[in-house]
Amino acid sequence: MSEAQMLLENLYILNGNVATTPHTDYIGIITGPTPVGICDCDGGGECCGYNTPPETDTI
Amino acid sequence: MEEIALAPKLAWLTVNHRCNLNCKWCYQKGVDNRKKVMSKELARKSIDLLTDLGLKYVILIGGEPTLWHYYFNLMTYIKDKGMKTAVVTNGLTSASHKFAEKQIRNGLTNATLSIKGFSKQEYEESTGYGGSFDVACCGMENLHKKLDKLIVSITITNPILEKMDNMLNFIERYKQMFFAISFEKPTILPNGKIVFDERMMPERLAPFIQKTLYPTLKKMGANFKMEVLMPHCHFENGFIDMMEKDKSTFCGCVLQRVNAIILDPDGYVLPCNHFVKHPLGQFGVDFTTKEEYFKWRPTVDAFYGITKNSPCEECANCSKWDRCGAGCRLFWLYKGSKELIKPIKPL
Repeated sequence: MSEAQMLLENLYILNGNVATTPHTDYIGIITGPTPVGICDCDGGGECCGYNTPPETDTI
Repeated sequence: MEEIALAPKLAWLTVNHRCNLNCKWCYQKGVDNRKKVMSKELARKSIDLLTDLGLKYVILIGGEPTLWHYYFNLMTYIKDKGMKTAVVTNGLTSASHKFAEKQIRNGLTNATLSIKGFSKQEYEESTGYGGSFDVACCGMENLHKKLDKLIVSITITNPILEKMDNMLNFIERYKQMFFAISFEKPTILPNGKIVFDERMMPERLAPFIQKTLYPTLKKMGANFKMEVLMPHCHFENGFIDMMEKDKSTFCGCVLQRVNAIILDPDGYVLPCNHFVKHPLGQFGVDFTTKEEYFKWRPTVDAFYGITKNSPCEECANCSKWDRCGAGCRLFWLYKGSKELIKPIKPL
């Protein structure tokens, strides 16, 4: 188990959080929410271009 | 097909821990060896892997990555590999025209410049170096003129919040620039302890964002996006939808995206930049080649199984879960669901 996972699990339990059963898609990839503001571009900033791929960003 | 789904689309190289500022809220403050730097060999091998994985951008971060001895050379290497370089910087080094221009000649295309305060006094309180405020502004102006894309990043802390007029005046002064506004998050120390300024908890911030900050920035005509990595139940119904419709929000959380790779100066794979000293694995040990990466990556699914899922039953049963995601997981590590989740409001 990685150090990251140990930390996460320990603190989750400590704080009374309960992770529900993970959801996976048909090839076993973990799925989950897509919170507002997550984009699918591929790079270009601290996030990744803030919703708009850099090539088409008009800001 | 599985490889495509597991392939990272974003890469951060934390090339050093050294910095010319000493910000109170920096997530790197728990690092014991601030002189640590990524070796030239590790950096080049990392880029080789990222190229094989099909990445288009590499984001250099620190510490202050522009102070890294191999900064310019690595950008050239990245360019030669057909990728683009972005940097996350405090902007001080770019106050030099020569330095700013050399970065661009060597392949820098995008920069995120983090501004730490909006007056000499604020900058002093935040970073310990008040005299650097004008230098940072100069670096910001230089990069704005020379780069295709500059993001001015503001992390709102309680001292900034208490003198909000300074920040608003600054944004007004640089209205032509694009601002990415986020809020202080908890920091994980090497011993696993989480430290945080309680005054910045979502329950206090959400009303401030909704009633004051967001409307004011809109009224000013500011060019911005805001990161609202907190449970949406702290906001009134419709507010987040409005922000999304306005394209005024962003989410840079790599724990939610699960499509990023972050390497620290020793090649440790961090799940998020805040997980200093708590890695998932290590480049050069767990994997070096693309094939090895795809064998290793599923071994950390258990970790993402937690971060991608609802931290409590209230969230699991909430109609807004898919677009909320319960906010930054650092808050969940700091506090539990009883303190973070409000009863679900009727739609």
